Amino acid sequence: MFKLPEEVVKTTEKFSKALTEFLEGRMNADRFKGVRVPWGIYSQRGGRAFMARIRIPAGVVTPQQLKALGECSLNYGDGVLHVTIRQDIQIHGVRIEDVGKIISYLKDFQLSPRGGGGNTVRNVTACPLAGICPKERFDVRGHAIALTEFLLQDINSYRLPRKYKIAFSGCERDCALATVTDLGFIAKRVDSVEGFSVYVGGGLGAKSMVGQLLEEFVSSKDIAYVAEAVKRVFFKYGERRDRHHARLRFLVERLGVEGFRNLYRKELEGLKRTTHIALRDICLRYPPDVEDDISVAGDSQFEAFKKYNVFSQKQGGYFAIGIRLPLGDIPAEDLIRLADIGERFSISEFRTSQAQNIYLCNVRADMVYPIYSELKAAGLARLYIDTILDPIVCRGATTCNLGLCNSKGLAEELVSNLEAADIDLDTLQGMTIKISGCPNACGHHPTGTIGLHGIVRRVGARPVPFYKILLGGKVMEGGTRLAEEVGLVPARNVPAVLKTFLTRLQGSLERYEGNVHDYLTHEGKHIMEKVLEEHSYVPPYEEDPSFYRDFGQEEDFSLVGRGPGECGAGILDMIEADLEEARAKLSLAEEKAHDTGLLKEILYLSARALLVVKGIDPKSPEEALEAFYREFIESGIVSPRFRDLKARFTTLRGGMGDFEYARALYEEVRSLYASMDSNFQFPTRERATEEVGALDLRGTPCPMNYVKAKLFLETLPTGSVVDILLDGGEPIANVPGSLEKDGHEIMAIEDLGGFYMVKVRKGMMEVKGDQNAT
Amino acid sequence: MPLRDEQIERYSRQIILPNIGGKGQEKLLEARVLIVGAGGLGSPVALYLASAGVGTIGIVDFDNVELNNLQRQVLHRTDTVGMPKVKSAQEAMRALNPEVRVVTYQVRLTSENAEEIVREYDMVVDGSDNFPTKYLLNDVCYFLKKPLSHGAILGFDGQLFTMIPDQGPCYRCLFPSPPPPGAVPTCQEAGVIGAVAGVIGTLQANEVLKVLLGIGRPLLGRLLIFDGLSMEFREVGIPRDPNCPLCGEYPTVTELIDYEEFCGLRRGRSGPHG
Ligand code: SF4
Ligand SMILES: [Zn+2]
Repeated sequence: MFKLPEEVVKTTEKFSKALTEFLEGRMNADRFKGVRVPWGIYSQRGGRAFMARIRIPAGVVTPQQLKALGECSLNYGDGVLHVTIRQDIQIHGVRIEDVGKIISYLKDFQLSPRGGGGNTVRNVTACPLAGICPKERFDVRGHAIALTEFLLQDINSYRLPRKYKIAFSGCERDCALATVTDLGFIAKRVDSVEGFSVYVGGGLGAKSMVGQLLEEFVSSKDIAYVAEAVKRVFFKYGERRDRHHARLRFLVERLGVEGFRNLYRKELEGLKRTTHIALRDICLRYPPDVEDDISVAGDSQFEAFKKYNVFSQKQGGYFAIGIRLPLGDIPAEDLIRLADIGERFSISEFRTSQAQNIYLCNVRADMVYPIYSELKAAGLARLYIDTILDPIVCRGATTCNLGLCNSKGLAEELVSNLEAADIDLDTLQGMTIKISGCPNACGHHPTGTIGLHGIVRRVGARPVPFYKILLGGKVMEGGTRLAEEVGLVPARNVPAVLKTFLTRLQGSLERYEGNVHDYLTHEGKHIMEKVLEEHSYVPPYEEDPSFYRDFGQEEDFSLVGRGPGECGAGILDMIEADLEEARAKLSLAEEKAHDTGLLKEILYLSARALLVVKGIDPKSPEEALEAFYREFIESGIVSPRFRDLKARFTTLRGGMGDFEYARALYEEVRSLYASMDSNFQFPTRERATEEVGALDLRGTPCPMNYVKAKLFLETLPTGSVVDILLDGGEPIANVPGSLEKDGHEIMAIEDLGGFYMVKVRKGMMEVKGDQNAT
Repeated sequence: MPLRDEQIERYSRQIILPNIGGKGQEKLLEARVLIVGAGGLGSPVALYLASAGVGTIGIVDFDNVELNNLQRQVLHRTDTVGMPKVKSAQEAMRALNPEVRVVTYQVRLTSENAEEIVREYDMVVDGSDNFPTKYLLNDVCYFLKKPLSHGAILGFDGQLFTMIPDQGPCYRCLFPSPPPPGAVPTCQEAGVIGAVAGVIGTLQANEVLKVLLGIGRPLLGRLLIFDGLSMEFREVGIPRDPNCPLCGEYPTVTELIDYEEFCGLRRGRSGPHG
């Protein structure tokens, strides 16, 4: 089973400290946000309540853990938990002061929200039925768990350009969605060696992409090297400024998969040379095969349950039972009850699934019926898991800060509509409905056979909730297709649209034999287009205001209160928080320039602000100044006048000189931040001055012409080519030679009649002084 | 900040040098150097640093210019006799290079003010003529981690070395504490040749430029001794003393000390520097 790595346990204390500081008003909200988000603690819409996203590696969870989670929700949350599409379990409605209690309570159960949010290594997922699925090539649970333990050890796993998601699928059916994840592993056996094909740069979002093949085959023992090497490439080259293009898939797109692979291979080589990584051997047990089958006759309800919710395992005589959670939600009492049933029947393993459900595993044939009876009594025996009556839905506008539409409200309405309609689930078997509240695809709509995402359109002057409808998504190694857009429909009409569409589709599907996905993207698409047409009209507000109101909402639809997302809140927020604090202290210090404490803090904050982008999280002012010196002053990014920063800090006496110094440092850092580019790079002081081009030195006598040429070349990167115009006589006789001596290359000298054009390529030779101590 | 045309012209002969260039010149323009003593040693230092374009030069001296100074203190002129030395020095430097910011301190350096003044600078030049100041400077520069160019002259002899705190020896590694009053003659009693002050001060200026630019090999752990009569330079290696009361392993000097004036002539009357 998964064990919390030392790093996580250790940093738990640090989190509590930050929380205390925040609660006591010693840390401002922005800075604290930079701490809590990578700890998987998000604010919910409205800002007062918080959500803790607990990672469940491979979705493997014990009844004891489920109970602990349920209790946290009861004691500190709003009493309802949520299973996410990436197998995490979320506790909602938590007051910030209780977050620390949840973290320390869950720690004893080897559970933590660490890395549940922000720019971190997120939950490493696996097929929901890994280890028990009859079709799998081999069990991938251990790989996902061990890799999690390895990656969470490294501090850089929490300061990536953006989130980093990893998934393991047990076969080409790709139930873990490895082909649409940042890094995906799909089990494969080559010459009886267990290993994986590896996909990179997949992802669902505003711009979804299918992962590309990075490695044909890597053996199981190498997966940590692969994941770490990809992580390092991402860390070094990923886009950090522009959050919308920060995900790994944009880097792969930018470099091309070949370019990416080159960088990756280089990292991989270096890594293998210098580091020995051995993943922990995760000890997983399986029940031995037994000769047994479920044999309870006469109960038609149980028969239906068996048909829709019970799955044979690869271990003979054992079954997995699926618990359908509407919208992925489960009340805490139910979760505790479920865990309880598990415990009583000695079920030691549960799973969370990508379809936001929960499975009980390793149920012996003769236990299926008794467990079913208990589930039924507890109201947990909902049929139709993983069918179109079990749509996948993101949290949407109710809790999500980005969400446009109330996807959850829609889903409820939709399911009750479909249940009432005459729809044959068997004909539509394998179809899925996936709904996101906005284009961000947290509901994975691009992989749904039917996908929907919220969007806003103005009708008259009023905003109206709409959904975009997509068709034909599917996931499978080598055959993953993203759903294609078909059209738009007002939110209010979505249930009617889908009901009509499915009924018509069912009619034609019955006669159709062949690939359902092909059908959906061709004939199916025409059917949908027609249905959409029939439902596209939005009456004026006065006629029917219900179009202007989202599901489950009391008020008319509006966009007020939708802030920027939290997920990548990390770095820029932290920088700004530091600068803001430094600025506030500066204005205080203006009156109290003798207050050395204040001045020290300004120096400290200014020095610290930009260190995050260098991946440095200083623990003390000394560390911050040291790192600032190294990263910014020595490297010529910051003016050398701050060379004495460290000494200055320790000898500060207060007074105008010190105040001016502190102010100057703050100003310098602030303008540096303003000039930071999208890669978190800073212009060095010499650059940024002039443009490459021609330099006209006619009329400038010797040796000034040489001096100017030399200065101009200094400002350029090595390899730049410049044309220099020189007078005849002394200048043309001397300058080219001198430049050559400086290490530049004279490519051509052209006589232009009366003057000369010299083509110079800037050389490598940057003569630097060598300070030589004896 | 790109160099202006006039600056390029003014400093062109040093910009030309491969290990200075535009970048080096910018470093100099941003640099801040404190010269303690506007006397025989301080004079060439001040003039050469100003001419090289060291952006900010601080100068400390309490005294006024006297006629007997002019024999060796080339910063001052007959018509500035009677003027505070720092003012006279400021005028001279401004006339030479108006771009340089000259900060004047007409004070005696003491344990009270030393830190506050020294703190503002990147490097310090010791152009003083007395032991209390030399020790005070050595100690304060060590505490504030500022490089210090030490220089001294006597008759036809001179010496210098450069201290970079924690990277090489300090003055106390050589001479742990000042000699008792009266044991060593001050230059007032011993007399001095102006040109010797010029030689040593000029070498100090060169050391400062190297340290500011981070080039070459400063006189770190090396005492350079000049004998103007036999016209010899000698170099003596000076190791760092692990028992140094200041920079050794178990320091006993942990705060600034005002040693007693032992020249006897200084108080009340202006004493010559260097
Ligand atoms: S898809 Fe949009 S609404 Fe849904 S959770 Fe993601 S960001 Fe929020
Ligand atoms: Zn010493």
